[in-house]
Amino acid sequence: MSELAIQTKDISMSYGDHVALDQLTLNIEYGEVFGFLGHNGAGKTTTVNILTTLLKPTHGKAWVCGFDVVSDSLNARRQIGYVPENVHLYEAMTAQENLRFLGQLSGVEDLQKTIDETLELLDCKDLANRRVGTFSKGQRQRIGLAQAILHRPKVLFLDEPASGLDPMGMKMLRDLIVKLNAELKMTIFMNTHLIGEVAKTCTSIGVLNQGKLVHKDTLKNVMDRFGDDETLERLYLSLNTQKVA
Amino acid sequence: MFASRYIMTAALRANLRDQTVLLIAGLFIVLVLISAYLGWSATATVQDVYLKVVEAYAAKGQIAPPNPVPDTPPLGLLRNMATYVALIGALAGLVLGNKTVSGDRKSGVYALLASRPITSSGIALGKILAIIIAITGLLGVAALTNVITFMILPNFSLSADEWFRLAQFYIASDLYVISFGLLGAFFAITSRSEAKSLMIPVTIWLTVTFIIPQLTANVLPMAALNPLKAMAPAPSGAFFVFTQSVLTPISFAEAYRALAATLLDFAPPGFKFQSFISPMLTLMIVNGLLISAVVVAFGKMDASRSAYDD
Amino acid sequence: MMISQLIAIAKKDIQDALRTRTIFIMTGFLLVASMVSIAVTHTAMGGRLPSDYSVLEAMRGFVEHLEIIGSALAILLGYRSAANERGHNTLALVMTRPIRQRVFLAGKVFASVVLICGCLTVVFVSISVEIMVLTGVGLSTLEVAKLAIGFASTGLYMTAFFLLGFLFALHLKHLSHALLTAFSIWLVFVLIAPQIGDTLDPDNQAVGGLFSQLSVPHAQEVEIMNKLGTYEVIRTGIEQLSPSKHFERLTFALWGIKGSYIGMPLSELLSAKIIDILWLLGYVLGLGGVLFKRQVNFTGD
Repeated sequence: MSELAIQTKDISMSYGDHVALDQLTLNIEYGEVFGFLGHNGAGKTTTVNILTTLLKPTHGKAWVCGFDVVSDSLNARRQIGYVPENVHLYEAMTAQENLRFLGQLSGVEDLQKTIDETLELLDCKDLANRRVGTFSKGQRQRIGLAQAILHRPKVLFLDEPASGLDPMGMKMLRDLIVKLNAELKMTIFMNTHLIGEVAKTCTSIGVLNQGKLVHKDTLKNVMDRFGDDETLERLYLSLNTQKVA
Repeated sequence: MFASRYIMTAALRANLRDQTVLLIAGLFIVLVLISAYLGWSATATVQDVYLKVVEAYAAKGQIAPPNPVPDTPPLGLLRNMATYVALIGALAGLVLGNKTVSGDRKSGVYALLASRPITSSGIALGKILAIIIAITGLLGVAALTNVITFMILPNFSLSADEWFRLAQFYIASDLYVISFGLLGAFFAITSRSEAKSLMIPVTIWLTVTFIIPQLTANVLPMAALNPLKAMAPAPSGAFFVFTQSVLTPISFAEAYRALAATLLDFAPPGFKFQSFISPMLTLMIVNGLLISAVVVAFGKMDASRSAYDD
Repeated sequence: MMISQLIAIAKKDIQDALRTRTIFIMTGFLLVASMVSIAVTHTAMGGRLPSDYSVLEAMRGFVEHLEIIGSALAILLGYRSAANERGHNTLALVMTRPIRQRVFLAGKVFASVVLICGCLTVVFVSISVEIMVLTGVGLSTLEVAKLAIGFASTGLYMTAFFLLGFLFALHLKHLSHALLTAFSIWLVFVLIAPQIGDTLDPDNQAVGGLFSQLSVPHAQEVEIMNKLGTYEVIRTGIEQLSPSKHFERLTFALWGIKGSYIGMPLSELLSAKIIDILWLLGYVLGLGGVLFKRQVNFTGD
């Protein structure tokens, strides 16, 4: 098994003249909760799309658990779970039906038991037989998370998971991330632009600006250097401002 | 009224920037040109065939019977236009009507409109005017193409009466296509899903164009596309007498075709539209009813949850 | 694993079509159009059975409804199949699982072929019963066989249009453009190309047929038409483009709607119509090839 959960080497992504991602090199170890910070349009979602095999980079290589995301995408997909920014599920189907279908595609054995356990873990058994079309944003996010961890992936990708959630929903999500990392030993890669969330849940951070990685370190080192959330925000702002200027 | 004007302008601008609308409009214009060519080409070929038949009879020392296809009047060259208006024109109308409403539903703009001091009928009026203007513009371009064709073809000069009838034909075509525009808009407002908002009016269009003419006059679907075959008289029998009396007054596809055939000189001799309402009036009534339906539908729309389910 | 994934996708799609009632609306509409058409044709014939009457002859209008409505409904089915995933952005959830693109596509195509066959089974069984009730004549084994081959050809024809709708809805940048682009092509293939071919046919320029009005025998008609070489090449070329025309030629021959095929042994009839069968197969395989060859954009951008 590879020593790194996620590894990218000089990956770039261009759409015509627009460079969305510029030679990104990143190493993330197993067990980390990695917060990927950056303003809107910085290239965070493009990075996740590449790492989840949805997009092929125009240049460079990337591996998840040692599997090349382009040439060995099927094996890479066996290792990952993915929660997009806006969780879209099959609206006409119940939560249980959605999970059953997506679980079958992941080849989950003893599916019903796993679904029950997952819903229990996420404290949302009451949603099982309701149609997804009737869910609130928070409920949808939970089922989105459930589908992503159903097959117990080694690496979980979360794209702006807190977007649109109320404070209660955000706290619940935070607790879940910590729980998944601690209990299920999942490596978590989280795109966000919320500094507070990063400070409370992540073990390491990276800052992306205009497609380039401008800072990467463990959260502990950053906190040791700067002290509190507010300075972390200043760090983020100053790094971004420097590059934009 | 001012608000309606702004809504109309915004809708027209959005339509002009929509590639699909432009694609359909382009296809319609291409077909207008093809229609003129087809009319000329088919007429010329019949003349060619007839001359060859005359030669063949002459070789046997016989005299050929008279040409069963007499000299086509100039407006008759445009007979395929009636079919293309009923096909692509109606579809273009549906698309335009649908797009004029659905874009705002998808983007959630109705919540913003409804939170301003505008009545729902004001919004409806703006949208209806946009549909009417866009379709009239489309048919205006088609009419202009025809006018230019007649002006540059030296063999075909139109009398004042023929010019007048050409204008009437375009008014009838405009009314026909607008009715589909309104139909498209109505289902774009009332349907919960975007797919259904197109599927239902397409089904109605298929029914009006292909199923009802078969019921009233045994016009088979493909024959309904041939301007001459579609005008064949209904078979005799109590069944068709009954279906004609019941269905023809509401069959606006047949009303349009009858009107087009009469105005463009391709109706068979002795042709009579089997309805107590004149075809032009049928088209007007259909439009009137559809305008009311669109206004009512806008009134009932819940702007706060206007987005489609799919 | 691949088979179970394929079945899971197909099952979900079929359940979805049943749940949203799309397939019932489709089947119902096609059924009403077909049954009305057969009843009206039968009535127009005065309920008579001429001596050379083929029991299946009343199906002419039915064939034309399959051509027009069947293909339109197949496009809608294709659009729905892709739009269900793209419109909800669920493609990303599916394609981050260990599933090959071709398995995903095959599952969706398989589901729709099952739905099309289900719809056609209802329609074909109903019209067979209707024909037998109206004419009071039972269908012979040969006629049942001809119906079955016609059923398969209709399935092939509708699959071609399903693939058209599916391809556009899967690949065009804006989903809303897909249905309309597919319908524009449908208009050209199903209505305009045959209409041009039909309208341009000199024989169709006079009610009752130009040549019969002029009392010109068939041999001489062929001779005259041969002299109009280029004109006829263009006219038939436009017709050849249309899958509807091939479907029509095949079914008209099979069901004795075109008189010259009545009484012809089935094997001879099929070999006479092999070109039309190949065209239909060509459309399905060509579109299927493009579908499985092209990389789908899974991010919804």
